[in-house]
Amino acid sequence: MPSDAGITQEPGTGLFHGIGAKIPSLRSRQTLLVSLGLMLLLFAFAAISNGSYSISFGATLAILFDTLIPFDLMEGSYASHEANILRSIRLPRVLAAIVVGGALGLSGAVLQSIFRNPLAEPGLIGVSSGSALAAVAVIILFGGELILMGANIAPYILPAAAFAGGVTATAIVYAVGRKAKAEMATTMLLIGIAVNAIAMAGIGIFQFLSDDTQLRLLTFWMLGGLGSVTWQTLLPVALIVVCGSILLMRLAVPLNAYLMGSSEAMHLGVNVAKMTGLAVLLSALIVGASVSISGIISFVGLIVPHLVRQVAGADNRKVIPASMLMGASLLSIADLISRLLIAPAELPIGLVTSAIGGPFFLWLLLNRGRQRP
Amino acid sequence: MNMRLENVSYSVGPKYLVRGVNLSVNPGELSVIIGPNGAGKSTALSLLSGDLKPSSGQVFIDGAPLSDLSYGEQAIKRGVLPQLGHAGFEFSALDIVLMGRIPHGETPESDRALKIALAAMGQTKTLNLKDQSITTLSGGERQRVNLARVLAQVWSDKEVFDEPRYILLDEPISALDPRYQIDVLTMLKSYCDRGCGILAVLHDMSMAAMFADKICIMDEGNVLHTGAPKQVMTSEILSDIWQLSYSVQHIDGGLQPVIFNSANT
Repeated sequence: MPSDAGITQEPGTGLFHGIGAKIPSLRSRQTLLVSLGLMLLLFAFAAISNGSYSISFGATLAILFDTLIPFDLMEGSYASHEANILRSIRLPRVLAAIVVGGALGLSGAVLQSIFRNPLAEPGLIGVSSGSALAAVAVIILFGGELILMGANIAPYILPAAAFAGGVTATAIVYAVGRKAKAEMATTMLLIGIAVNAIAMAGIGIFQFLSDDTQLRLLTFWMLGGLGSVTWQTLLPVALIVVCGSILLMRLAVPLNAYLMGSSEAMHLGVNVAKMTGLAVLLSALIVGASVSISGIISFVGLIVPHLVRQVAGADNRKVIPASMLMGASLLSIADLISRLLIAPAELPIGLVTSAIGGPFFLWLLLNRGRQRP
Repeated sequence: MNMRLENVSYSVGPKYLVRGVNLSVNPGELSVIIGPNGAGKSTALSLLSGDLKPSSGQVFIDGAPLSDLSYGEQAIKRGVLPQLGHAGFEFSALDIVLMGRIPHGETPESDRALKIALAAMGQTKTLNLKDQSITTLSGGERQRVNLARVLAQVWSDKEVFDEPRYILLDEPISALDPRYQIDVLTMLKSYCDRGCGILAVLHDMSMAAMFADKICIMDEGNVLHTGAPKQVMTSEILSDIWQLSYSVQHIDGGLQPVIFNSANT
């Protein structure tokens, strides 16, 4: 580091003598987040204007402009059916991809820090399997129809149940884990495995009881997809994810201290048990909310923090927000691929993320092996 | 005003790791615990640091029971350097030292945190390592970087500390060469002179004799002797505890314990 060559200090000389160095990390953090933000905008725009029906670049911009600013100033530059497609189908769907991808990326980054394990992902704390169990129960018990006061409320019951199931499963993991005498994070990892196994058994029982239509519905739910997202289901989920994410991002500094060791964090004033509980429960909240509208989308929460760490190092003040932006970008593009590949039909988005994520995971394992002598 | 263990015992099942220990860390003093492996030195230190909760007895810091203080309040009063562990995650040396300012609510971007971190790294002679990843440093370098973090945590701009601050160090010089051992202990002594209370677990008998204001000799979970090096580091006591033939030489007014027969006596 040539720029630092002049900075040397002997003990006993003036305390702040000779200090003129700048931290490079602050600037690189802003650069990283701004470039990821721009990438997200680009991907989101591509995802909004493309699909089985393609809307031109100019028309997309004009519709977005009129959607954001009233008075319909640009009305002449697009067809009204284009505006309808964009406003009621594309926009909620792409926003859902951003919300869900962001939640998965962010919670993956937080959980990998909490478990100090680069292979941790949201599924480990039981939230995915808990959601799936609740979802399959709703599908089998009510089918596609649940009539309440003359209206079919099934489209709302399924997400609500999936959310409740996911959060409950994690709450169980947490409640058992905090009673353990050993370090909470390690114990929760093991309890998560047990809870996942129990939930999978429950899912198996329901699958056994289901008919062909229900089974097909369930299979697609387990592979994930954003096709059924509407503004009505998106908005509450977005609210939960935004609030949860803001709270989780505030854990970045204590999580950094925790990466040095649980005892080191405690000596720096971090209440480790409280932080672990908060991180796990908030992660369950945002992932549970996401899964409720998207179904299970694998590998995003695992891979995204890894990609980010390749460029950003371990600092959670960078890794956590950057994982959120990167997750949102990747899921927007994965959703676009799932819509375009066999248009006008759609691939389940979980297939796309698994097809890309599986090979990446293998590469990761091989690379880990190589690093260890 | 001091940190102390009052009649503290710590047991795992039927086995006592420390038993009825009284030990105080006073501002202005460098206290050193010496003793054979398994004597309970690290356990005593962990009881003071709050890593372990006593089975019986009480731990006080400035007159208040340790359990009455939040983690945050404890971290303001006391910094802890654990034994040298694994390197962990990819943080730069500077990032590690900046974490010492977390208890004071200073973000790594703040000017004050940066100034203090760099000054602390100057004192442990690690400024040249500041942009290197902690995973690429040697054991001795990591030990000095982590020590700088503890110094940044208890930092005071004043020549004399306004309020007593405490530093607990578990084998802080275990990976250092003799030059750095002397440098680090000299620097720690200057912190004591400014009003810090420091407790260190050391294995190096001559370093302990050279720098300690107070020596606690532990064996089998008990503090057997406490006092100035001249009082407790006698050839009889050392030979008895380590089952080795120690001769304590007096050189230039200082003590120099020497093992003259390595075979068991």
